[in-house]
Amino acid sequence: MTARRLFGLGAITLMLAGVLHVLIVWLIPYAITGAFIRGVSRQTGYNTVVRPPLPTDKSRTVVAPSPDLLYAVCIFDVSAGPVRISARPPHGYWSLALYDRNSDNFFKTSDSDVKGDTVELILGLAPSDANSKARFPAAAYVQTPHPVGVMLARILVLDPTDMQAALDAQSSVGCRPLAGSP
Amino acid sequence: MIRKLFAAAAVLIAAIAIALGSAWWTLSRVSDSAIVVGPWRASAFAGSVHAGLYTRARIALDGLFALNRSEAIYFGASRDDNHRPLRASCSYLVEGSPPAARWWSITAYGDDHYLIANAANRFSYNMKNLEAGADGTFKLIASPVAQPGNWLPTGAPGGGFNLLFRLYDPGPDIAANPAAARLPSIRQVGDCP
Repeated sequence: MTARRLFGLGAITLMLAGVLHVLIVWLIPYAITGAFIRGVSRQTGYNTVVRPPLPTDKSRTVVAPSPDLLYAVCIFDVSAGPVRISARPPHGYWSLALYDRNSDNFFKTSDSDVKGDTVELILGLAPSDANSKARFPAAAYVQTPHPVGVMLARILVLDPTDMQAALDAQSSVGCRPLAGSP
Repeated sequence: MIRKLFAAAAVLIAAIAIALGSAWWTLSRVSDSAIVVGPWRASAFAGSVHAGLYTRARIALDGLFALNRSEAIYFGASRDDNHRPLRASCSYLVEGSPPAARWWSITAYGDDHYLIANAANRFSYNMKNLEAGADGTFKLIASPVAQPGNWLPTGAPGGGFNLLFRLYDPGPDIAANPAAARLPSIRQVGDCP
């Protein structure tokens, strides 16, 4: 094998490695979020709220959980139509965030944004939905970039005195297809 | 023909090995933390749709489902003030004053980024359950052995750990310029076996 041919193979190897490097780094958030979505949806299905207890060392679903937050999780799927997300948050800190399949946080609302006792969101693929606006005029419409993603509600528990209100708020979180919504 | 196939396979295998190795090295060794405050590091674009390729991958690995910095800023520390890695067998004094944020907490995680098992079931301190001085300043000890006052267990000796300082609803000055935040010092105390 000539030196020129060896040099050529080395250059091709490095160029291919560069492309694969970018591809691998790009795929990591999709792979990790995808594994989370598959894991949760396998247990509960889509458009259903999971209400785990306060995180401890036994909590291994997501890295770096906050032990000061009670979470509510829903794997949403709007491919068959919009999904209604609702909650009656507590008076303390809470937030409700929507994540794309690559873990991007494309929407967030919290107690600083919402006035009133309830949160109502209609999540869909289209820019707007006349039917949902007619049925739930107070609900905010949110367009999701992809049909499947993650809803994550965070409810603050600074000490045990916050716990009952946080549990009530956690149980109030709803995530269901609009078609089947009361 | 066989030689060409062999060369192509060798190129492909070498390229995959280089790509995997360089991706691992970049994500584990090269910091993209644009915000540095003493031993604390934060990403300016965590949780943001504007996050770059490497930030997004690193957040997915270390802190999936982060919020962006208008809602929360996550300062992580894996080293003390003297740039030495935090070791679970050592004790550290974490000393500071409350940051301008709606609520905040300091949590210890193992090398695997999960909460650390301990008999006290103590995983974090927050602005409400941390015993602070009359002026608001606080001290906590991160240590594998029980300590008087604010004790944050680091689990069984062996390996490392890291601290995560969460600031939710940060004040406007911190949200605009997180590098200006006054964050706690982390100093090793006592002997370190």
